Amino acid sequence: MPSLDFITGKALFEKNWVPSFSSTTASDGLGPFYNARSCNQCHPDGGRGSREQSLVLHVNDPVYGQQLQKYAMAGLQREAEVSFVFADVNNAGKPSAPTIEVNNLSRGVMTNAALSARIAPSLQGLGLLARIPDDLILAMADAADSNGDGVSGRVNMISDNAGVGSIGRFGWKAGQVSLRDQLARALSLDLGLGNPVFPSAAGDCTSVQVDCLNAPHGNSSHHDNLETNNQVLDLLLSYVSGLPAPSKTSQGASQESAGAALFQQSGCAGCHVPSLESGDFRLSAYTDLLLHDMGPGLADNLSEGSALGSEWRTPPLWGLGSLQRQLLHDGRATTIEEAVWWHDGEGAAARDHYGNLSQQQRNDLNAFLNGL
Amino acid sequence: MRYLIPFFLAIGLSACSPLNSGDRSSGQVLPAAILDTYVAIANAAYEDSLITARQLEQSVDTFLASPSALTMQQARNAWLAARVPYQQTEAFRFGNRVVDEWEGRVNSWPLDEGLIDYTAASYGEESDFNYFYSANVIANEIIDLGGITVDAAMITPQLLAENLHLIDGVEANVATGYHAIEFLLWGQDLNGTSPGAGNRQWTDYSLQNCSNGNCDRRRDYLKAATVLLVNDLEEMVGNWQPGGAAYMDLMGKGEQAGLATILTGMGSLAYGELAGERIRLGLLLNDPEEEHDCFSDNTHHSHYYDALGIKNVYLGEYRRVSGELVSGASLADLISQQAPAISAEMMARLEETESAMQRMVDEGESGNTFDVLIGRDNAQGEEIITRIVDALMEETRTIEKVINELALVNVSIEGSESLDNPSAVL
Repeated sequence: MPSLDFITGKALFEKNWVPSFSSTTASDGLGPFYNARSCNQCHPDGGRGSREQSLVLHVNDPVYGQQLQKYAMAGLQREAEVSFVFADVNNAGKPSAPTIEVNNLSRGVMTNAALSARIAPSLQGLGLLARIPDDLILAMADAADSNGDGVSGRVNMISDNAGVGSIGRFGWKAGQVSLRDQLARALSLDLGLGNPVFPSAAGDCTSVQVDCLNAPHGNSSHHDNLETNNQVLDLLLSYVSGLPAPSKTSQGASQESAGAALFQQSGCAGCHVPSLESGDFRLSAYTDLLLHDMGPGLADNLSEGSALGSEWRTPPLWGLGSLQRQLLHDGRATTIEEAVWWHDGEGAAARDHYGNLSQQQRNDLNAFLNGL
Repeated sequence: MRYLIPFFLAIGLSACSPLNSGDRSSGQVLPAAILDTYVAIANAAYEDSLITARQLEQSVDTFLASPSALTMQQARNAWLAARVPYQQTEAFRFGNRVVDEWEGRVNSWPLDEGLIDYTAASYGEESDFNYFYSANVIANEIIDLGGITVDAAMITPQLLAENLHLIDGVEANVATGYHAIEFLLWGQDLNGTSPGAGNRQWTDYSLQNCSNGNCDRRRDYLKAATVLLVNDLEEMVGNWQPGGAAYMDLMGKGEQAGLATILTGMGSLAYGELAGERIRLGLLLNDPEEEHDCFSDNTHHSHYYDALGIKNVYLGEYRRVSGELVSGASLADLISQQAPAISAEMMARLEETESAMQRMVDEGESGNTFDVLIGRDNAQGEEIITRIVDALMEETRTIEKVINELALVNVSIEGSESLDNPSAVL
């Protein structure tokens, strides 16, 4: 039986927040701009969302802020109409990236045209990623590619106000140091809920979005004059950090061991590190939590911390078989083959290895991956 | 003890099982018989919910035909009466997909009541008059919902169900159901964690002496929301009749999975929903809106009848609004045969929960309603509420023992996806 904090946090995770002109004083604070009414709407049961339901659009614009949120509270004009159009293959028969359509921008043109669609990742096992010792991550980093293997993972070192750097671990670009900060950021950007880490009740409103800034807010004494207080954040953290990692599913021992060997030989394991060990600590998440340049095809041209537009944090591969077939940061890849096809830059060599495998070898490797 | 099975169920099942009432003194209690009782209770409780919702609709009609303090109070009383059977059906929600997917239409909380009607300007000093306050359906024939325009010239059940709710996708059912009607009948509870419920004036519905404007549209909203509730309950009654979606779903699972469904519903309601979401969260945040029936201050009853619903499905008994007892073979019978010690423990847990709930009801009926009890620095209230949380937690532990005793697999009590020991995967 899970702890009371876990189930109470789960209740908050599933809670539908309401805008601040409701008569409530403590369940409100949604918006002014928001992508969802609850955490659970995009991360169903803490799992991964779908590209139909759970894509958000990151931008970096002085007028529109860090995202073009999908919704605005009643009475406030939406930022824009955003849609994502997926085609299975492009004219050349190759996998294609989604087309991001932004129409009816409500507050003039955007000065920074970079658009990055991001799908809501699974939150399972994040509590375990938080526990990976720093020195393990630092030991894997090889920013200058001193060993000449073509793979040069580096840490997204995030500085706090005092200039002290910490390892970024969470988010598609490892932009957040702690799970708590990542949760707080999602509360602020996706739900528009101010919180102890990002206290503004106006969420992603910028200083020029005056109508947004003047919208009703949900700060209340029940939440220590915020929209959500420390207790809310801590309970959410209890739930999210308590979500277990996906469990392995057996695909047949011989295929699995053949696939595991191919995973190593092809170079996949260079970034999707199968096992992290240090003292009593051991974790099989298939990530190094480092940033890698994945080439122009995946680049979104948005930086985050020290991560460049072409850099992404290695995502864990656990649970791959149970994910909806919408892989990569924007859900563009519908098969493992497609996801591998998109690997470029530091992933190019492993991609080419994969491409040169026999059909039988590829089946073995895919079976191994589906069982993670 | 009499074994009354509703007439339609007897028709539906007589061919395959001669009422399956089981025998508590001798003979094996059959899972099929337990499931029959469970379905019989579901049928009776949803029927009672429908009957009382129709009575509510009649009272609303009377109120709207001749608005007065008296007819408004009668409508409020009808709403309170309708909550009694409905809350007892909540034990059917978890584990039964058909119910869980439907539930948001009738019992959604929190409500987007600012979208429905006027609310007090209480959120901050910079807001004397604000455009946003007028963004409610009752005051506006055209609603701008963040760039999406909805034509609300005519307030109909269809407008509420189809146009208003699907605006931002899933679970956005924010303006219908019991709590929407509750808001329309009581209005905001502006008393915080002090005593007192919502205090809407009957003149909000008067065409002659209209208060707060747009009384014609407020009347339409109240009527439409009530009609919608009746329609939704009609649908759920149908779902539990032989051949209905919930009935087929349950019976198609097989007997063991059927028993697992009963226990999933009990445990999920007791622990994740009731102890966690509806009670402890409110206590932690001292948050009057975490009060489940917050406009009417009826939360003590709403929680009490939730707990009774759990007991009902375990004991295989349900006392109908008419006084009739529906009962039959039960999990309690099975466990008492198979594991007397667990049986005794479970009975003690149910009694402790009921007793802890009764304490809250007694307080509530004397003015110390749930929102008062969870107020900051209310030590006695905290003790009363904490006892309930503890009782529900212990009850759930024993439900887990029952699950183990019956060797049921694939039972997912809400909240229990977590490993008890997350470090086990390290």
